[in-house]
Amino acid sequence: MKTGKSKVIAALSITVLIFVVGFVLGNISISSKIGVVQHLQNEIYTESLGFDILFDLAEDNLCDESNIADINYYLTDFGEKVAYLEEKNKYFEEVRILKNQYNALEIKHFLLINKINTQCGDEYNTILYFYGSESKCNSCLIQGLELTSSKTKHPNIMIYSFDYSSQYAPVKNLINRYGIDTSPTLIINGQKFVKFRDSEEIISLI
Amino acid sequence: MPSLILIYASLFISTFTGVLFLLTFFENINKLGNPRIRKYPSVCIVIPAHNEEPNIASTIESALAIDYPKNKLEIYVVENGGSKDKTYAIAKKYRKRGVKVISLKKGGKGNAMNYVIKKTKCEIFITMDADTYADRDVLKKMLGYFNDKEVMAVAPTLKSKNNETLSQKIQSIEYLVGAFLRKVYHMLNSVYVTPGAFTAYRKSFFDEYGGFDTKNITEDIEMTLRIQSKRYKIANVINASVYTITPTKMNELFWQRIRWYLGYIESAIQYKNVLFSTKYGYLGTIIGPTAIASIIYMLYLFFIMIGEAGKILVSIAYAGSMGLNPLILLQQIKLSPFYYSFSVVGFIAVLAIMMSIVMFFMARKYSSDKSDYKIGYLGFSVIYIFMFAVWWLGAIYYKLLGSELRFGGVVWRNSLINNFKLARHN
Repeated sequence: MKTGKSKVIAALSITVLIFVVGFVLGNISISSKIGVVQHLQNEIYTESLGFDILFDLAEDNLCDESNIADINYYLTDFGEKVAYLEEKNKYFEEVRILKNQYNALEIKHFLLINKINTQCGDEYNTILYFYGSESKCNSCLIQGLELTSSKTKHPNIMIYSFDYSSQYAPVKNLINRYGIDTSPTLIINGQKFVKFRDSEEIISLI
Repeated sequence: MPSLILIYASLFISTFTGVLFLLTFFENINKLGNPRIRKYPSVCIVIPAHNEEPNIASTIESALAIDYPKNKLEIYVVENGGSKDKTYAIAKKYRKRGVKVISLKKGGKGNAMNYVIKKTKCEIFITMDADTYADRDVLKKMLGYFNDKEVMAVAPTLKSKNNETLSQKIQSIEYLVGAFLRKVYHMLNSVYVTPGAFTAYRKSFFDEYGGFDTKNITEDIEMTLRIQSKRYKIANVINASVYTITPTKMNELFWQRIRWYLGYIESAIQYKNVLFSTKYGYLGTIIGPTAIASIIYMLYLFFIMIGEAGKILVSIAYAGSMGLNPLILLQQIKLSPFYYSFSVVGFIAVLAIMMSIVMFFMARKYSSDKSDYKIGYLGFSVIYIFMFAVWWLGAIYYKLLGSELRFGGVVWRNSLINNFKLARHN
């Protein structure tokens, strides 16, 4: 009883071909998605130049809300897409770099909002949200949804999310500055709150 | 990362076997016709029966109706194990129509068949379960394969007779996909399971190598592998149809499968040098190893799915414990196409589903099946993997730690823990 070698080789070749096609299509798909996010990133950088211009204009018009509306929109969109890429392709170096760049923009935005608040009166509430990975923080998924929900109810809330385990220097600086040692932790208008808070509590703490 | 490698390795093996099976089938598609019987051999059909009152009469009628020269055909009914119903009384009524009816005190299908093997001189010995019905032309389609002196067994396509409950509808699909696979195994000379419900054997094989193994709870699998181990051939006839009454309830199905899979495990261990040896062609090189790999892969998929379902349940429970509406979790679902990317695993899975659909339709076409399978196919796609995993986990549990099981008239105590205790005792 012998095997027909040519048939086995044909079956192996077809299988290899299927896998090659699968990997090529998968690669094209993920590259196009990284391309979309990189395009977004460029947009954000263009907008971030606007941060500097806004600072330059601060003396004249810092308190004009329309100046930061576009930046808020792009920053939110960028954040969601980076989070998605991180979930699906956490081993990609490009994704880690994009995440760091996003965190940098968040911090820059946070500092700008603080400046606006100081110079224009308390218009915006800021929340720094330090989350952990799914395996280490059961409540982080729900906490994220509750924060989104509180922003829907209270549009003047600015939420900045950071991975508690990030090795990115600016994020580590914030972790040290606020003495973050667990997740989830919320810094609401500079005050530290440890453990889960639902949207009602978050709004009441503002 | 190791889990990713395991997923890709399993996907590669299952895709490869699927492609090989389809290539084999289409390569031989013009050779699906059955050989004509050169010289009608003498045939005996043996129907072992234990508490089969509801079905025995119809089964005997079906055997009597088979189109075959009457002077060449003997029908035996062997009531065994002391049936508590009217099985024997009903069967006895058929004596006047030439049916030989025997009652044996000792239980077990293997014992009943071995009794007739010793008694009869017929050339072809056919086992027929007491809840099985055959098409009239079944023997004329099957027995031509015995023209080849190396063929020791010939199996028809087994179908589910009654497709009323969901369990039966799912089984009907399973049987039909099985019909395709068995035909391909025949083409690759690698049949390792023949239906115990109806299979024809060349009786000279029993005379030389002994009858059925009465200690094995799936004596049909053991016999099939014994034939393979002696390097003989087993044929499958896709357009010869036999119908069996399948379990109506999920728990009945579970115990049937525990018996089958325990028997398969024991036979695979007994014939490991056949199923996992390159000396046995496709059977030992590809079919045997990939059958084991596919079981491991299905169990792995099962645990992945259970894990994912568990995560969702934990999130819902957590939301509930916080006094929140679990529907808040729906916010996670993104609508933009950006969030849905092409996945290699998904791509291969879709191809695998397409291959199984081709197998299903090929089996349907060449076995001339006209049943309506819509609900069965839906049920098969959605829950079969869970059923398959539960049956295998059950069988593995009993093989390791089971104490005692009773299948018909046969008591099974062959678990590893029982054997360990016995060895210590001795």
